[in-house]
Amino acid sequence: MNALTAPQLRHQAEDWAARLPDLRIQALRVAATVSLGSHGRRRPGPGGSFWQYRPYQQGDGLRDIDWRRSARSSDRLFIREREWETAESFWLWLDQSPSMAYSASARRPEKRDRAAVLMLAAASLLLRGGERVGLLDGGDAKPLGQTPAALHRITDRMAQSATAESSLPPLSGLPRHSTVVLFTDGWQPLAEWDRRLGALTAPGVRGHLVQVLDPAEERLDLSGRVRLEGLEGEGDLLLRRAEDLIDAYTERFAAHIRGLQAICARRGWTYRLHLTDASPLPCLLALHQAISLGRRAAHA
Amino acid sequence: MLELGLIGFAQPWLLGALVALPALWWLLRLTPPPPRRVQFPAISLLMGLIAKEESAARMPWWLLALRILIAALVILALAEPVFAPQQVLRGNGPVVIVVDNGWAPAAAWDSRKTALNNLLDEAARTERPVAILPTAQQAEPLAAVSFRPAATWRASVGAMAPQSWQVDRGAVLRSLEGVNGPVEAFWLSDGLLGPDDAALATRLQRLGGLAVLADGKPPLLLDEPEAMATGFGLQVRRTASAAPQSVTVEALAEDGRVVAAQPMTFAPDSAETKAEWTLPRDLANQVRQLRITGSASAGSTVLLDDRWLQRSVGLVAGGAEQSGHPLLNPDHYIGSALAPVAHLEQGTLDEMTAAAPSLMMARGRLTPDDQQAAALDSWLEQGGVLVRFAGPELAAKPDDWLPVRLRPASRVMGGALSWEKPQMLAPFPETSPFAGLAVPDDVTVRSQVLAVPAPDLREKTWASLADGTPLVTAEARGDGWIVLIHVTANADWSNLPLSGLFVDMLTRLVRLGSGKAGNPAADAALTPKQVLDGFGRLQDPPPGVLALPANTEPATLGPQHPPGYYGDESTLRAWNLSASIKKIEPQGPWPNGVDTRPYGGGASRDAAPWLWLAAFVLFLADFIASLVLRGHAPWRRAAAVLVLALAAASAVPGGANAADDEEWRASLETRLAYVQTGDDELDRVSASGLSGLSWVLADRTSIEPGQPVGVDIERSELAFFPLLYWPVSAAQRLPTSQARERIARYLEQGGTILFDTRDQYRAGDSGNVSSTPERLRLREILDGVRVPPLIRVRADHVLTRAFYLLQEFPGRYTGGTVWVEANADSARDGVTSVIIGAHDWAAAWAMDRNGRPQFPVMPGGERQREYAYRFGVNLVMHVLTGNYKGDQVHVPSILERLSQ
Repeated sequence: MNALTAPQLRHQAEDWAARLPDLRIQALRVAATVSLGSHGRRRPGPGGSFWQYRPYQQGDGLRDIDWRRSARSSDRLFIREREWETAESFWLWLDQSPSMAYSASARRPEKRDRAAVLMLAAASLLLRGGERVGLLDGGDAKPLGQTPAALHRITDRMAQSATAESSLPPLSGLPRHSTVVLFTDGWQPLAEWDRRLGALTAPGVRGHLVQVLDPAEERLDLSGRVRLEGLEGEGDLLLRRAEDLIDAYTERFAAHIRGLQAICARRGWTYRLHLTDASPLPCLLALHQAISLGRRAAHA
Repeated sequence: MLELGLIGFAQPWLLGALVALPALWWLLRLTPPPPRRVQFPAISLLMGLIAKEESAARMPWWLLALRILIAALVILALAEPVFAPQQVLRGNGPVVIVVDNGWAPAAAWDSRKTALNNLLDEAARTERPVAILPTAQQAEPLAAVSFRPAATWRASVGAMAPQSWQVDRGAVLRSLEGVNGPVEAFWLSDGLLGPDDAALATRLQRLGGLAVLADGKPPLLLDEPEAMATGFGLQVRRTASAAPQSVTVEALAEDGRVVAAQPMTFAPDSAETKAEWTLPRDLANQVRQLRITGSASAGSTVLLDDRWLQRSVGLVAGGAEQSGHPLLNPDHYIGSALAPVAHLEQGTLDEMTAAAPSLMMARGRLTPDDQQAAALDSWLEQGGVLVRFAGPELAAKPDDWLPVRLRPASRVMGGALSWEKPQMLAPFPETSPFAGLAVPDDVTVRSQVLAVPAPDLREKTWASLADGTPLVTAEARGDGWIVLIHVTANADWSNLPLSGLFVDMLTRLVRLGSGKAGNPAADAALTPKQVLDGFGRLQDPPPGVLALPANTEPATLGPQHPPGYYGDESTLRAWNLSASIKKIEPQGPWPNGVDTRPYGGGASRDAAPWLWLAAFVLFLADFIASLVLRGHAPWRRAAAVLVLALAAASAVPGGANAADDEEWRASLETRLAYVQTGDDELDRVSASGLSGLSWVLADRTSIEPGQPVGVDIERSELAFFPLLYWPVSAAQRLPTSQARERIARYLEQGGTILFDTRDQYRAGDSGNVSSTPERLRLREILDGVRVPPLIRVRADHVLTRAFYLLQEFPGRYTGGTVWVEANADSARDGVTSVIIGAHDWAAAWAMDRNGRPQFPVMPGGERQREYAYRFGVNLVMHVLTGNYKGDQVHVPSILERLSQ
């Protein structure tokens, strides 16, 4: 299979978009097993949006009285409380390039499916924690919401952008105090990754990179005469004796991973490798912990 | 064609391609099998890595051998191999095949057909046009010779069968007049000599060469047997042959049982064999057919009719004219005359009435006592024939058992005391049983008894003398006859008993006594009843068989008059092939240069399909092997491929049954249906009428019928339709009995048919019509269908209120009576099974595509059309909902509305 035509791509994307609700349910199930240590921001505080009315108490400022509400009541004054809003937001990005739509065995999910489960589970956790979550898909840089219901909007947005072919996150700037989580297979050249991560990294921005790979990519398990086909139009490669290449491939694979790790470390990002034959839960837990740690560090 | 022992090749030059197989070997060795294809996202990591060593990408030797074998098989199949080739065609022009398909080759017809098919196969392989000329005359004259590709002859060769008459090679000779050579001619001969053989052979030989196929197996011809008093005189003929031959003749009764068999043997060099076959009379009279065992042809089958029935004749002893000398004894003449045709018994009157022969002869006076008279009377009533001979005793004193009153004296002519000369016989009158017998000049009558003239004497006279005095008189008694011959049975009074005429007359009388009373000389033509086909089987007469003119031999036995039974029960006549064949002789000698040969052995078989099949199977194996080599999941895919291949191989053109499809669609939704009458215009009106009504139903009610369907009452399944609209036209074909059964079953199982005779306009403005052609037709259609008792629609019938309240049911016309079932079965929810009317409802309902009515209504007005639709709605509602609206529940509200 060489480069796909546009209709084929769209068809594949629609096919995948149709699977998204399932993936969301999987993600919710995974996320439900993670218990949150502390609830996030669901409390009154400085912010823009309405949170609740409460009766006036001694010491409240006159400015905080909601006169309209108080006028409807005969004898009491009400304070209009606003929700405490943090300036921090989370930006998730899923690599939806054709190379992610790959699974070497029918018993394993595609990398894209697993990455989506991870991402949606992470989003669900964040939303439950009251965080603002947005998608880093090159669109307007506004969070999609901060309630669990926003997960639907995220899924919808993913379905809309299912045809996005880029294997790299967009080069858009992010507001300060935000966290980026990238889910990718990371097969772009290291130099390119370095450039992208550099562009995303700004003061107050923390990043996490989750590399999702199929076990078949980790070990070249082929023998004999094999014609390899790239999934993103890289062309074909005829291996006369595939077994001879295993050592060389393993070497190159390790080098690539080391390179990615080094780039992440240099930018202050965390790096995590997930193989699709493993359960998504440990990866999710680790990711969640890393995110929490990062946020605590920011607020400390 | 190249022949290598058992196998020949039609296109041998193609075998040269086998030389290319080593080259193919080399090429296949060079081409490695294609690599596995694997998708791999991390391919970028591998770019630039160069493999150090190339694997040995060689095809395994067994796969190579397999492919070479496939190629070899394909080449061999293309060369069109033939097993057991039968090569007879030599030249390369058109081929003429003359086939003798008369009666003679029937027993060996298979070999003819095989030879014919082999010739056709060969002509097809070499693409030579063929003309096949059957020599047995057909019902339609032989068309001009036309050369067609061999393949187009297959069907007619398959249907070709031997005929039950003789060949006419002259006709073939004449049809060959327009043919110009060179052609290659074959004559599939039956081996029997015919008048035009030499001319035909010469003609075909001159056209470009003739090969005659004949075999040494001569046909057998069974002659009509001689009827004997105690069995049959058989004769079987063949073309003279040196070999002795045994045949068995078997006798079949009317129901096809073999009642007896008689072996016969041809002596060497003899062309015929005879046998006298003695059979008991009861058995002999059962025999309706004789045939030679194992020789199924019209020539070895003989049908028997009443001419071969063995009659018993009783001779009542008595009379005074006993004489010691046999030549003076009347019984001697009677016995000699009857011996070939009947079994003669003698006895007293008591014995004779007890034995009840078909014919009783009595000389002298009959003076039975009362008991004997009663027995004799009842025997006569049941069809016995009593033949009396005159004599001096009777002349002296006539008794009561005579057809006419006699003068109490005899008349003597040409005696010493008479001026009269002995009288000769007059020709027999047409109404007499003796009609047609030739009257010899030398029969004279010297003395006779005379009848008293009476008004009916002429009618009673069966034979008379030249001067008009009766010689034979007869009177019918019940089914039987009393016949008086006015002379003695010996030569005393006349020389009639000495003549052959006497034998013929007695034979006719005996036949009269076989219960076939009446005049056998009836001049009605004999219609064919059953005819023999070429294999000697009785069949219903095909069209084109004409009636036999009575009593005169038709000119030729042929397609118009094939052998068989003609006439009805009383005049049944067997018409046999062998009677018309004078002699059979072997063919030959042939003109110089004619190639004669026997019929070949087995058929040659085309081997190419088997080679193709083998190549295909090996190809499949190769395919699977390749899949395995390329590392695909082999078994699942191989199974899928096999299934696909089998499905493709077994795909038979034919498609789904259209009728099933129709039924399937009919069962999906409620549809109105009409009966196709065969009149296109009428069917069109029915269709548009029902679709108009369907539209109205869908518009006004909750019934949403599908497109109306026309049903063929003979074929369509009716069970899907709640209502059938049946417009009756006078020209409609009557349903067959099966269709009537289907109609009856449909009605029984709850269907409703609306019969519309559409003839109310004939009534004008007033009254009803009863015997229009349509109604008569309806009566004929329903003949045999159990139609329940009908009454006029009463004012409280559910039809009047099933949806609308109606009291009249107009269609295109109005004013007629509508009939419904009187007591509709509660099992069918009170729905009437039959509705009969004459209002041409479909025409009133008919709409064009824009929803406009197609026909004016009479007397007219939109109100009438609206009421017509309302009737349609009520009708369908009634049929679909049964007596729902008949419930008393609705009566108050209906009454209330009626009172408004």
